[in-house]
Amino acid sequence: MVRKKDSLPKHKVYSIERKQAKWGFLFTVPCIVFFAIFAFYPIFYAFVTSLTNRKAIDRTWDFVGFENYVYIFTKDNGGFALSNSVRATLTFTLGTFVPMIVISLIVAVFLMQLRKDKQRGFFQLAYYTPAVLSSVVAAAIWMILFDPRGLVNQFSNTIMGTSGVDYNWLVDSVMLQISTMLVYFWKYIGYFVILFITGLASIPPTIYEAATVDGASRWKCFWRITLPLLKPTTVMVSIMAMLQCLKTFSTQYMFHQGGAARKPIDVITMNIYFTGIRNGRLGRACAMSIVLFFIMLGLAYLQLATTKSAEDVEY
Amino acid sequence: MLIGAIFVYIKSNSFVDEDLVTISIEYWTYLDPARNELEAELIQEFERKNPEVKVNMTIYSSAELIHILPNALSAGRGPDVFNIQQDYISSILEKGYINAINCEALGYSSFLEVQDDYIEGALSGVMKYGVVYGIPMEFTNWCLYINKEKFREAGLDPETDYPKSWEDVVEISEKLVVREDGILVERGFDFRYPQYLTFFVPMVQQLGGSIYNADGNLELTNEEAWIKAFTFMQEWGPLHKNLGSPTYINARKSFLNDEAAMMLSGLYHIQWMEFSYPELYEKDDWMIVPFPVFEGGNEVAAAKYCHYWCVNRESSDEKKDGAWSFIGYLSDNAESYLTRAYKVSPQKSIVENLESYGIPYSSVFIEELDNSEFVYSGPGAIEIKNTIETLIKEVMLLGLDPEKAVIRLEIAINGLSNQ
Repeated sequence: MVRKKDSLPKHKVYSIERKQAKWGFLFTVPCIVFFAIFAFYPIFYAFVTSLTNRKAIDRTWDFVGFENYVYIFTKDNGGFALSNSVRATLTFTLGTFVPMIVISLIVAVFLMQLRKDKQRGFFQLAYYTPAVLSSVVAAAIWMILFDPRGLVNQFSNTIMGTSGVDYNWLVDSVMLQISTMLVYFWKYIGYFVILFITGLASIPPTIYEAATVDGASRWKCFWRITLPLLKPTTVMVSIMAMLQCLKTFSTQYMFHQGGAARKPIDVITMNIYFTGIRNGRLGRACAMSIVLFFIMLGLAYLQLATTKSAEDVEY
Repeated sequence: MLIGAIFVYIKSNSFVDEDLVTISIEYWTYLDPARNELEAELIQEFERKNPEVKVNMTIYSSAELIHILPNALSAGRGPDVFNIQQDYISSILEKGYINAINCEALGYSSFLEVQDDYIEGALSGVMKYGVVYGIPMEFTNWCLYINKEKFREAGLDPETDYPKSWEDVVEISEKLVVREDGILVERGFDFRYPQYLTFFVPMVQQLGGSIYNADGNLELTNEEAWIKAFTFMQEWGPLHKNLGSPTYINARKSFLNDEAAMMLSGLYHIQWMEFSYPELYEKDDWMIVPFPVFEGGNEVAAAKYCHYWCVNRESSDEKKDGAWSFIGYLSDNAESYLTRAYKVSPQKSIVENLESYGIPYSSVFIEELDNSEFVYSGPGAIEIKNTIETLIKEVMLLGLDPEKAVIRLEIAINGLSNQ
């Protein structure tokens, strides 16, 4: 019997997808609430504060429009201009996250070649251990290593074939920037190695077997199979690494507290801290944090846009 | 079991009958083990004598306290009583977050009696329009500590060859430093880098410059003196003579670790030596001499500074009275602060009889007082300190031209002066 369309009962009909979407939404509600309280609200509040002349120790403040933005883009902020901080942040980010992605990928591939699980587990643990350390402790350890009497200077002399040369790891502006990059690299490489290993483990071995049967070399397998199929992981890891580098603070702060000059390593987060906490200019500090937010948003979007096809990978 | 033991310990050490307590006072202070231990005992005694009052002491590191306290006060969540270093007090004083002293609760009959109890200038750091807002806990001035053994190892006689001028400090340090393969492993002397208002500004004053003019207003005076002082620091640093650097382990620590022959500190450091490094202390092979002066310069010693006890203006009247009475009780125990924690209260009765307490080299510190000014703690003190820190680091580590450093400092000081 064929029923006419008009005679169908008039109640709502949900497709399976819509039902799933409804449950999906319900499950994401706690996350949305969490982000709303701990991320969206602070961002909104920081933006509002950036439009005021609020100082840490004052209880009253006035709206000053975009005065703080004009100030941070045109004045030198007591010798620590935002432009210098943008330079320091971008230098640090490029100098850290590019080598970190490349080397963590290489290390992950090598670890995957290890046949014994125990060996692999040992190296994974060894690489990951520094990530567990607090950044402050890591910076304190490395400051001892960067001392003229420390291991790094001795190692530098050995590598360069010199004797008794102080390479000024914490003094010279270029060396100081490199030293902060080294600390960060050492601390986080294990974390990204683990992420890459997870990505590599999800590539079906049958693809490699088929390629090997067809006569592909390991080198070819890496370029033609591993790298393309790892694209989603690479995109995710590179965005995470970049954002983390843009937010770097504790290494630079600890080095500065340990006596190093501020200018070469005055990353945006450190400038925000000094402007807001040390100098009590909360309005200006919030304006800087909004600028940092947009830099991070812009670069993350750019990275996603340039690797758009990444989502299409299927196997 | 451990938790049980801790509970028993706390209970056995509590002298407070909770039923009688009507006033609970929050006291924030900085980490200083010997003094903290003494104050814990004094709090118990105070609570026993004043059963209606309970004092909760919270200890922060000094670096933490100077940042947390102003923010807590401005947020209306500050403690009832706190103590803080002189150069950090001006901002909270300006904002009116602290209460004028209550002479009666402190145990005095009038303000004149309070004033009469302390050496000249001791209350100036907490005075605004003639009203006093705190009671000094201790005052500190710095002299030069010398490890005599290091001098002898370098072929010097510490009793006669100790440095009298900054030029001597350079010359002697060059003899005292130990370099292995060209790398500096032991220093002759090094500065206390973050405390620029305490040692660097007096060095400039020795050369005739200052951060304030004859009227007491903020102004960078005698640029030449500043350039000379910055140049001295530059030549001291790692890019020139490499006798010291802000990036090296702090000299006080190195002195106690036998890795620096001289350092600057206050009388309290004797006790640190006794507590933390008894070997060096008991060897009795150390001495203390006056703060060096540039050849031909003015006789200006390192600046002296106080730590003050203050009361939160927003606490209830009951708490404020209890807090001042608590401060009065602590300051009545100035002698214990001296003998047990080597903290010198600027009370006349203590300062004038300091030598009678048998503390070694106390006479050197007393003699230096005549040539020492109280550290600048007026408006903009912290900003000036931070600016000098930045510039000295750039001069010493990045090779900034001292003349340019002085121009930048002048701009900063003029900016603060205009504010």
